Amino acid sequence: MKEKLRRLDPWILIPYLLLVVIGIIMVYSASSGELIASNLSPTMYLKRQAIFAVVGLVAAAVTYWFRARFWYSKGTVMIAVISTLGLLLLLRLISHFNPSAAQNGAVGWINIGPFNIQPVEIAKLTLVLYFAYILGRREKKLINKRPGEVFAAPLALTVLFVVLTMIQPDLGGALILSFIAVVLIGASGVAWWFTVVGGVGILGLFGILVNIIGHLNKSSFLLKISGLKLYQLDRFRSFLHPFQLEQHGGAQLVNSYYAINNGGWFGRGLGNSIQKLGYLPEPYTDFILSITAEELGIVGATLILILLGILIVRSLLIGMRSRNTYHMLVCYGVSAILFVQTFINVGGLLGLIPITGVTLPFISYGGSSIIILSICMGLVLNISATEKRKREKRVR
Amino acid sequence: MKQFNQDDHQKSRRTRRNRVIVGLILIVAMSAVLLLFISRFAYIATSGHVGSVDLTKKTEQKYSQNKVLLGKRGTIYDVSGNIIAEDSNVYSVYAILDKKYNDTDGKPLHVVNKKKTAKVLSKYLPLSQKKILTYLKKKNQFQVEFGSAGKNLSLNTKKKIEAEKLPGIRFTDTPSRLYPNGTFASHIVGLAQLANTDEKKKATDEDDEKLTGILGIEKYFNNALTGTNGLQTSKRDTFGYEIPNSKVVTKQPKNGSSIYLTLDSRLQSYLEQLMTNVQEKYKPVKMTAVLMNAKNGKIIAASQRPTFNASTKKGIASMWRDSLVEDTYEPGSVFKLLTVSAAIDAGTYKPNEYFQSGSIKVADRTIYDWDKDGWGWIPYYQAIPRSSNTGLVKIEQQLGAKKYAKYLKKFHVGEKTGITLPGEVSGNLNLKSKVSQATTSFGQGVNVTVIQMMQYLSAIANNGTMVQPQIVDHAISNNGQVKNYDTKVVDHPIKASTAKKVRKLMEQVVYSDYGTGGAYKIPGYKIAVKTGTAQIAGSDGNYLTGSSNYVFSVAGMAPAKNPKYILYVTMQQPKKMTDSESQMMSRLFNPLMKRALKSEVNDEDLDANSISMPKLTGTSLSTAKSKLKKLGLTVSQVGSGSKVVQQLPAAGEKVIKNQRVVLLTEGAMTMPNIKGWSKNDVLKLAEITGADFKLTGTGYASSQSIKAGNIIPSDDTVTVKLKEPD
Repeated sequence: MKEKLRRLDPWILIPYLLLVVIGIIMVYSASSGELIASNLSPTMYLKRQAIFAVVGLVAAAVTYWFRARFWYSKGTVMIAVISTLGLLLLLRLISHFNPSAAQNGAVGWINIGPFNIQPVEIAKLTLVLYFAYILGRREKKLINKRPGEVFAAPLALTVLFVVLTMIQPDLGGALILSFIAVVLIGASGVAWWFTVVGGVGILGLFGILVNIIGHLNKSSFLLKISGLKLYQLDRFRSFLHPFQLEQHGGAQLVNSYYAINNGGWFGRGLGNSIQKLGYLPEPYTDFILSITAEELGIVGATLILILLGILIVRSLLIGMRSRNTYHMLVCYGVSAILFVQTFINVGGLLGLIPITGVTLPFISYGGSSIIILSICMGLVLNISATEKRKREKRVR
Repeated sequence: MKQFNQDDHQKSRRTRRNRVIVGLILIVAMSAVLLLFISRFAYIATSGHVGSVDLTKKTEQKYSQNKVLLGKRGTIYDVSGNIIAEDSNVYSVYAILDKKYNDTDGKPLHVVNKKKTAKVLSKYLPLSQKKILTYLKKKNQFQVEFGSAGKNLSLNTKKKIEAEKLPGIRFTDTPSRLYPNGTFASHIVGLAQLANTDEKKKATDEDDEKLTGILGIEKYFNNALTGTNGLQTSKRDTFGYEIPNSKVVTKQPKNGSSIYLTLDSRLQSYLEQLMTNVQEKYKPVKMTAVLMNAKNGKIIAASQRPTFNASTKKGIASMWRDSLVEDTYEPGSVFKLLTVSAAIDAGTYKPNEYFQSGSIKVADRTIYDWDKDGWGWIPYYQAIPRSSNTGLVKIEQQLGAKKYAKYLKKFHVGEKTGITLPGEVSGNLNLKSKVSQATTSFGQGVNVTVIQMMQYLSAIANNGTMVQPQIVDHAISNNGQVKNYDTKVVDHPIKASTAKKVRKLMEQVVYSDYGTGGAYKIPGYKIAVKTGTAQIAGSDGNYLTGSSNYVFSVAGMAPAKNPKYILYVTMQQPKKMTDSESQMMSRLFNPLMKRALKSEVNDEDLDANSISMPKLTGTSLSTAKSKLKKLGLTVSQVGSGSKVVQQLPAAGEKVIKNQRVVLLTEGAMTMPNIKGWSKNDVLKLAEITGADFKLTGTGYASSQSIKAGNIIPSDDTVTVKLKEPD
């Protein structure tokens, strides 16, 4: 076991630990003001986030402890798939029988005491595990150009997850799941040019759609035939015109801009954000990086992005080096989870893409997210260690 | 893997290569995206712009909260510093009903016990418990007000309600102007009100928060009295807390100037009381009275009826004009003083020649004396005392129209006096025809204001020096700059000898058995008077008939030899003429003039009886006491010690017999029994103790809030009630 500890990859471990610590600090800084204003203990979220982080660390350690093979055994993957589906369906039942459980108009959590389980977070990991499992098993079929047989089951599961997430409704979650699937299919070993063309095509399509929706006006033809009301598309319109539509959904973006501007290069100092004091709602969740930029400046925000970048790239590198399809796809998948979440979150608060309510990995407040991400880190570390051992064996 | 054939191996390698290429592409693409994010952060933060929007400017606006610091409106004082009008707040009460409204410790900030709250509030608001309860039981309201009953509450009422410690009961304040004396030269002092009484507008527009003078001194000196509002700009978050490390920019408000009027509160209050009595008794349509210092034109007391109570606003609708300066009338016989002054000054007046009284024909008109039969052939010196129209017409004719016009011009008849009151009118003078010259000689056909009459009379009282009536003594700006309003000599229309002769004639009005002013005798003083009974022109241009359709008037000066005071009273159309005209007016004239004369401590008196204060500080209390007793001074001590630490008046100051000396000893400051002390003495006590004294009323001390022998509190006010001696 000592040996396995020795094989811990510092390029994953250190950024991961740093991000968790920064996350705890920023959650405290961003949440305390709002908590005081609503007569709650200012350390409430600090304590919870710290507990989540510890639980996450334990989960990562356990994940690391088991042999990598255990995680892609049929039993494990099936349990993951079934329990994820069960949780997602449970959400559906909750929203049906207890509509008052909705938060911000959506039922995305299952409350257990003071803690909430967010099934969509679990779904991300499950999706990665399932893709890796199936593709790893049916590699031969893929090689022999029978992709239909290979992708049918994972695509079906993806659609199921996405639909169940959409109806919560959680657009951001659904998007992330779709993106993860796209990345995994792209990285499955199909012709690389196919992946490039497909990826660029999907992104282009999104860009065009957002632009069209964003520039709609009341008398647009599209609105008439779709039966949609203009305000339902405020999210997209306000992304393109945040200042004009400040009262119609643009406020968050505008306040995010203000926060970044307030921060400048080195920030107003830890704890000194103005925007967290009621201007940006729930500053400890989706907009925590705006607050970080305000308090710690471009330097602080950049540090977080670089740490995330190291995790993303390192995870891809570990995957690339592996000869094991399963290992490779899990690493690509984890990298995709991290990247897609970062992309949607940071892109949103920078006004580069519409805001969809996605948390920033490790930094935003949230138990499910940090625990699942920790398990992901445990997986990548485990795979890295396993690969190292293989290489060492080969050398010997 | 062993099952893989060669082809499969090749394919497998291709698949792996594909994956690696995709991995590389992902690394490049993802890194590029992260770099893009970093540069976007840098761009927003360093340029401060998104597109064309200046973020720094926007946040500046967003966080800035401006708070208007109200500049206080200047206070209006009487001549000796008693408050006539001051800034204050009135309060509106409201109740918070939202049950979720609690403070940080969870204590309720909303109404908890509605029944109890209603019961307590009904004690202080003019509203029944039941009605208050219906307000409090309104559904789905964050807060409720209580209609007009909950508005315009005094600070006192507010404090009393607050002392009940009812949760959820709150107040808003509105600036208001306090006129503690009620009916008190109301049209002269005037009124200041919020420019806009529309509640909704008030909240949005800061200018509407300002009190604006709409009448009297408040209007004339509005600019000087109005303070300039300051502004405090601070940065705040959405919860209203100041943002740490943010600058607070404050522009201090400037308070308005204080205006000290020439009015003397004690005489003014007395005048108001007398006028009210007379008005109730005889119900005149209008009445005015002005008491002026003859030497310097300072108006000591002045008022009019109808009037209004400035603190309750009762009666405000009935009369908006300041009659003293805004209303003209035909003065009647008092104006004869000007005619006779002119004739005496020009030397055409021959007192001992005789004329036929009763009537005189001028052009096509016959002019009668008030007694149409006249008094036969009488000497000219009786024309004034008897108030003979025919005599004055003849005096005017002997003087000649040209000279008469010249003299009236020197008296500035038909010109504004320039008194610092709004809306003054000039009246008019018409001497074109023989008839108008004749009628002007006895005060008909000429239109004047009361203030103009005061100015003309000052020339006679003041040995030919005519001074401008004055209502403002001095003003003190917020930075302590004093602006004195000095006596302004308008002209010298007549010689001193002339003035003296006219006053002799006026004495005869009172003291000769044929005089019309016998009722105005004041024992102990020589009074000079001229009475008047002026006809009133009706709407058709003809004079009204009937025994009460006149403007009765009396102008008096005292002491006659060297007048200190001029008192001029007019009374129009008394509805209940139960007494003769001079009896009616003497009820006002005599007591006021008497009080004025008595209150005067002559400078000569002071010089004759003055004692120089010895230095007592440092000596023992017993020596100081015996020293003062020997000098004939009254002594009061403050403090329980035996050594004098402080004295008032200070050493070297001039004092008169029986004046009170206040001595402060070491040890605890104890309150003396101040019953019967003059206001001046109480102020001495306030000065020597340094305590906060609040004086109400006028006259002499009648009660004190701190009992004699108790220690004077340093953090509380000592309230002393003053009362006029009966």
